Amino acid sequence: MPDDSSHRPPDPPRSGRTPEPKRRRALVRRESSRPVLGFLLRFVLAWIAALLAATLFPRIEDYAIAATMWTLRIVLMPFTRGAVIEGSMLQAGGASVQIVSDCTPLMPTAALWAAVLAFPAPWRWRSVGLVAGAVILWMYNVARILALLPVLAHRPQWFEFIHVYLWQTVTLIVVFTCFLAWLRLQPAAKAEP
Amino acid sequence: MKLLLRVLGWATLLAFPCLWLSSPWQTLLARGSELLLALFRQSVSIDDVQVMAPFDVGLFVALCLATPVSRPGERRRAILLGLPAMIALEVVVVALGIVPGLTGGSGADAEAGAARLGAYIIESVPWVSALVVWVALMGGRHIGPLLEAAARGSSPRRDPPGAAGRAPRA
Repeated sequence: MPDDSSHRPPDPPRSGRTPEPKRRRALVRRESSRPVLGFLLRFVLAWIAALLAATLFPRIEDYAIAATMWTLRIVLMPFTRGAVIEGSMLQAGGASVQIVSDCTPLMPTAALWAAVLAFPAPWRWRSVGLVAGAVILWMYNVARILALLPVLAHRPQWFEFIHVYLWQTVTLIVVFTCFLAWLRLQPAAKAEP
Repeated sequence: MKLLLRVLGWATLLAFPCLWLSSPWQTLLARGSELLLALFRQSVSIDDVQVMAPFDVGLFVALCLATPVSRPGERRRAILLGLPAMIALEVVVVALGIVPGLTGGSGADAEAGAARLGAYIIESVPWVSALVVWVALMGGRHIGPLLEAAARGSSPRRDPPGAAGRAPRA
């Protein structure tokens, strides 16, 4: 077996035992997982802050319901003559739904904002993510409610599945997509001091 | 984009068994949370948890199945570790959602505030748990290089699909 030790750079002086490859790999893995764990911790803290804010200021919820109704009224105006919007009730196309807090995009927006705030990006880019994300999720939520109306009118037996599926699965994927898009579109920038 | 489409596909497939399991799952979740609270000498009877479970578990499994892996068995390991973690999180979150109602002050405002906080805590099940557990077990390879690049103040590298997890380049 040829001796290739002459081709290797000299090892730096070390004290103590040489770390075994397995141990070294574990150290590298621990080192590389530190930013991810930090991100997760900041994300959870931001989420808790959002929950506390929504609890302490119930008007946020009232505002979200009122604004959702207002948006639905504007969107439906040119298309549906028979649409009736009273308080938090919406009647259109033979279907009737009540908009409650869970029907607003408050929680998905809070999740997206927590992720954007937890990521170490420049504040200007974070602001872009917060505003654009909120707008996209708002539009998505209006589209989601409108998509549920024909299901409720024509296939009420499918409503439960589509409602849960659209609200849980697809919405989380939309939130995830917004966050990944925000990460990928981030312009080359100097780190925040 | 491919990752997201794969997630959507798997999540759609898994949504059907999740809907089928939803009612018994939530009953078991309520019993589990009651048991957890009983450990802290809080005797509570939970009739209905009204949480979008086990769709969060389905989404977690979909995320794991859609994530490209570099080592065989990595995906199975993540699912085997993540499933009990997801279930434990659900039980803990539902129990925590009950706590404000038990410890909240008297009076209409305090009770309404406690009920609101409890409901918001329970919202963590659908909106947070799947993503957090997935990032912790598998998603770090997608977000980790971007986090490291952000910490260095450089633009993140656009990895080709399946190349995630390699050393990031500035």
